[in-house]
Amino acid sequence: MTPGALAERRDLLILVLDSLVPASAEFPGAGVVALDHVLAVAAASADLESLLSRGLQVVEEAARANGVSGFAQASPDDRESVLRQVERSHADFFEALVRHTYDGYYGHAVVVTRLGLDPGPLHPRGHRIDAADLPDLSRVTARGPIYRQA
Amino acid sequence: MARGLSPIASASGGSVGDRVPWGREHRRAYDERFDRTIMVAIIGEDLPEPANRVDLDPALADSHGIPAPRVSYTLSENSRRMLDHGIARAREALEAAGAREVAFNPLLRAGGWHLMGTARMGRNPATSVIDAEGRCHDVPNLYIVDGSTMVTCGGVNPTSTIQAVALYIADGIIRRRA
Repeated sequence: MTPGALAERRDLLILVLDSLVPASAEFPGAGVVALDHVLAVAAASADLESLLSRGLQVVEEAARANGVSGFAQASPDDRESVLRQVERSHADFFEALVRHTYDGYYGHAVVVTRLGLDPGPLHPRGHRIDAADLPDLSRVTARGPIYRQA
Repeated sequence: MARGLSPIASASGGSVGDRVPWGREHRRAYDERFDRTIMVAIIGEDLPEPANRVDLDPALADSHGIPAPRVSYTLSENSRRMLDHGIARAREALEAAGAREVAFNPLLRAGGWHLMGTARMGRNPATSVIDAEGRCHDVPNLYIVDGSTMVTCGGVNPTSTIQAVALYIADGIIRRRA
């Protein structure tokens, strides 16, 4: 596999990602949200890029073996069925694919925001935390330091 | 995150590795888990056992030819039983709190391991490495001040105790020097 081989299968990758995490009424599919992350991590590792590219080839071949001209022409149900087959036959590929898809999807600001969280970085201000009913710590704060300066 | 696992950890199952299924059921399964998950960690205290040790690697060395440290660890029956006991109690607590699903990892290999022991403190040179002042029994004027002087790892983070012992030994060094 040559570098960039995965990017050459971009359209197929989008369909596969959308099958892993389909769009819903409130959330986009992974084909939109996780694509850039998956391509980026693959571009940073020749081994991963080769693994994912070969895996996508297997997906395409499995779709054809199921009687359609390609994964893109399969129905959503048939696509998921094909991916279940590949998950069983090529576990290493599928493990990497799902892991990086979830990382990209649930690390994306759009998804984090729709989950009701602040997508901003922790540094320098930290995340906003709603006020909670904390226990009375006045006794602890009044106690003062229990260490000595060394 | 104020509560629960992060979005990514919720999908991947965190340290348990119980990943949310992909496909048409993904959204429903994820929504059932996200912000509704609590994690309980069981931390045990390994007994001092000869098989668990740090020695010099017979083959691996750095660029100067200095042997690398080799860490050997085997989960003992005692440690296994402590972990199993803790997992069972955690399950009881979670189910009593209304948990609908409980998953567990019997041994978190990538957890925070505290490497301690091998230079225990004691009065008897035959059974210990340093004395009560932190001095090595066998090498004059050599002090050992770190986590190796503790016999076991304890069940919690050891840094505060290591710092306290370091201050105690340092005070002794200064006192004897004066």
